[in-house]
Amino acid sequence: MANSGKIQKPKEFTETRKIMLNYLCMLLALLVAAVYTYGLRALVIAAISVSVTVACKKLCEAITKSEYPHGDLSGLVTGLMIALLMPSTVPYYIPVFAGIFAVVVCMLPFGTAKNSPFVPAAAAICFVTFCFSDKMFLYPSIQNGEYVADKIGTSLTSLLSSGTSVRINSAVVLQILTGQMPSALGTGFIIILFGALLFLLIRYPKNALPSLMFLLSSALFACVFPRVSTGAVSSITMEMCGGILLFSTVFFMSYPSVIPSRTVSSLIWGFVSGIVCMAFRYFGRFEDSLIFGILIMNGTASLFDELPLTKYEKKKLEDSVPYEQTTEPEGIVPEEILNEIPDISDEEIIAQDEEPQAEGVCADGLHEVISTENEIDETSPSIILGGGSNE
Amino acid sequence: MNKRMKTFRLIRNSAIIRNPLLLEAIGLCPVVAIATTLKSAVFLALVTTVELVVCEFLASKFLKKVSRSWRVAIYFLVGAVIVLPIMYLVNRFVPILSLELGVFLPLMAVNSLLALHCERVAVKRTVKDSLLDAVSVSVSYGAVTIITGLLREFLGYGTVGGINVHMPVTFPVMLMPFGGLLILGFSAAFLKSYIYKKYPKSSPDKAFDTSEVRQSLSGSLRELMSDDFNPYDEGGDIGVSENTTAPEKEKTLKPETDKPKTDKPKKEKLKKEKIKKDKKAKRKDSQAEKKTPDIKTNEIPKSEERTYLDDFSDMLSDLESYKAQRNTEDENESEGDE
Repeated sequence: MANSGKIQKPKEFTETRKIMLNYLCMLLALLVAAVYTYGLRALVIAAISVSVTVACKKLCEAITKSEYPHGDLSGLVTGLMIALLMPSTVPYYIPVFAGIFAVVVCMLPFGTAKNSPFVPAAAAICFVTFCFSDKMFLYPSIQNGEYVADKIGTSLTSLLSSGTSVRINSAVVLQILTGQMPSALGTGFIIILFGALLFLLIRYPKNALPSLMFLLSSALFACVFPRVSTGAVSSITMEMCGGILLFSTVFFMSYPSVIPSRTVSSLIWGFVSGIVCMAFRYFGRFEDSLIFGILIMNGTASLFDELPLTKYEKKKLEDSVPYEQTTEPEGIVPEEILNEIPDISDEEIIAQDEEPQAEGVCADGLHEVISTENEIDETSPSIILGGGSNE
Repeated sequence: MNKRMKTFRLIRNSAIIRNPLLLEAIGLCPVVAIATTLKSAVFLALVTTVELVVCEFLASKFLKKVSRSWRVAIYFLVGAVIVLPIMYLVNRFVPILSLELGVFLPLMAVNSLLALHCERVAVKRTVKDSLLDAVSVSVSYGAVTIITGLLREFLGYGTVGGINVHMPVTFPVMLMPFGGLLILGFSAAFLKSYIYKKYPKSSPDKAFDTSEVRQSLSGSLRELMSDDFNPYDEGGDIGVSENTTAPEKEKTLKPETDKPKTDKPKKEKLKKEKIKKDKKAKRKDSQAEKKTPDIKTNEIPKSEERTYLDDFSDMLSDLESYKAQRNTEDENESEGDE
């Protein structure tokens, strides 16, 4: 496998590939559910999206002659994410443009998936939402568990934006959980998404922590500022289960290249992201503008790493640094040794220079006397008498 | 031949290696905000050309002896004088274009491109070279602006110069600043790769160095705040980006010859170095008090015409004599110590 090590080391590559494999498993589960509900059209959209992203990625790598190893599955994962965020009524050219944008703008300039500051799929969805907003929110109706192609349904986010509530009872909850509400291909199956979140929590707890904080802060926001008048429970249920919030929680808030590296930073970042994304949702131009909030918070993730260290982190850092240095850097005398040695006055130093010194040991008994070739004091008796060991 | 090569290099540097939009990243705001159609891009390019040519001519001809603090303000005044009649004419005859340009037309009076190129080139070169630079920069700026405007109109509206080309799909996002920055970013990447292939010895990253203007502004602020500020006094120019003076600067400002490392006992060596450093620091302070009046006052006969190069060479010779003096004092001290 070609690995020049210039941009990405093999260890990082295998780690990225592992994470992408896990993402792929979760996404495939959603895809299966989407195909079951929406039929072959869902599979066609996914196939187009995946093939475009993978082909674009290969082409870009060939043109730029990049030397990092191929096959980290980021293209495949990005393609699937894009497909699952589209409604089933979307024209086929939209996933094509989304795939091209994701690769050319969000992946190519940054090299590998590990270096990208944004989630490519999120950026691509933002792009197509802006360009084709009239087509991105046309969710088909689902009646009696069956997809009705000719009829456009009303999604939960549409109801929320108009202030209309849904009576939350067991039947409605079951519909919401099993993807019976109009939504994008992969965002309606709440039970699968919760299962994916649990899977993420078990496999990559560090990556799942910002997702949980995101969910928590979104729920708090929905509770404190409900858009519907039927109570906090309805508000939280509709906000959490509507739109792409849960999908973003699982896949975008845990994407390896965008989360802060420190645990505390990632928790704070997750919490703040929830608030920002909900604000975008409430005041955004589109039915569900949450994805724009995600993109903004992706870009600010590195700022959260600049936050001051907590006491716990400081202690952990101190414990991890070895107390004794095994090798002394050249030319530098540690302060401890310097402090132990009594101060010698200038005159004493000059006097010592003039005295003939025994081989191997200097006046303070700590260092070997080594004669110099360049900075030679020709009047020094030690040189004249040939005293001092040579290099 | 030498002159021709020099002219060619000046044009090449100004237009390609130091492309103002793509490599210097100067004057981005109007392009990103208003170059959404071919018409507005052409208009923007023309206004910038006129501004640049007039400003660089004036700077090269009259502003060389004016202090930095005043020069930058004068550039913007000149820009305003040029833009005001243009604004009036556009409002009168093409009000639709005026609406399209919005607040960015008056903002072009304070385009940072003017200040940078006047400081970098005009005040340091002849009038002919400055005009050449102005023209080449304007051409490159205009070319990039027009290409950006054309692409954005094509992708965003599906038209070219107002003519509908029946695009099946349009991307309204390209009309936003995001689209402009995207196009400029990719263009910059292509240009850089071209430069690395075609001119491997030149470093396009140096175009991003705007130290002349930064130092001018910060130096000018310090001067303005000092009590003995004289607008017609030539302050010492620190930031010089001329290739001709760079090698001299490197030679004369080279650090003292590295004393070979000794292998004496570490503690004693450190002690000696510490003593020497303390003494040097004390000497430096006392000499700085003595020397600063000498460095500041350069007695230049007013009858002679002096250029920046003359001033700089005077400063370098002063520095050399100062260093030589310090070296002799060091030697005397070390002999005294023995």
